[in-house]
Amino acid sequence: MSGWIYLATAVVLGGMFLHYAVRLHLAYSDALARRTFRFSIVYLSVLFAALLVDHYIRF
Amino acid sequence: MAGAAAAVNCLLEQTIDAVMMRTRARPLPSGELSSLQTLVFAGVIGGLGLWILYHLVNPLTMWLTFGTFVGYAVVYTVLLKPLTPQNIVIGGASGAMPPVLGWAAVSGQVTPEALLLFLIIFAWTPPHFWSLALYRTEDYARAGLPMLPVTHGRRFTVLYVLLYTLILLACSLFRSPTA
Repeated sequence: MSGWIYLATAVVLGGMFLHYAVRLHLAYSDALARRTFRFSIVYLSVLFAALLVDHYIRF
Repeated sequence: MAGAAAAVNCLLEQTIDAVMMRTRARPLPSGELSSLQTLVFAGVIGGLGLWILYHLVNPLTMWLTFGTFVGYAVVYTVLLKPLTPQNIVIGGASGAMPPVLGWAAVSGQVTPEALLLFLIIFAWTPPHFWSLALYRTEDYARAGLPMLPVTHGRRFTVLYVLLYTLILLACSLFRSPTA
């Protein structure tokens, strides 16, 4: 299983994604939906990058 | 193989792509490429891909990749997409396969760890595509595609984005050191 780098990244990224989703729920706008879509791409890229970094650097 | 799958998708959906703002500049609807050119390209690159996987990687990876291709180009594009707002949820299985394929290519087997990576992308796909569909709702409606915001409205879709984001967070934590 993965280490603390991955865990920290997953929590921060997940929190950010959740923040977007909650804002969409409370105050919807097309512009916000577009930013959420863009963020989802960043989310997956950074999460898998963290998986890789975590694999080589272990605490 | 991914190139072949994308080419077949563009081939089958050229009439839909032509009426959607997002896709009408694609090579087929714009007239830059013919259907025959696309079919030949998909056949050559797909056949070559499968040959390489079978002979230079391993047969398991070839078969899994072929299954992913059929899942995307036929099950998702032809059957699910025009049929149900669950299209991208079920079809997301094809998009979630790459880490499993990579795992099979390197280790020659599919382990629970590989399936966990599959699960992360599988849970990520709905909020990803629904946030796109939210600001492209009219586009999808005009093309006659039953995307969730078209069939169930914005409020419902936004709620489901939120719920899937929670599922995604949970899936991503299965790999944490304490789990």
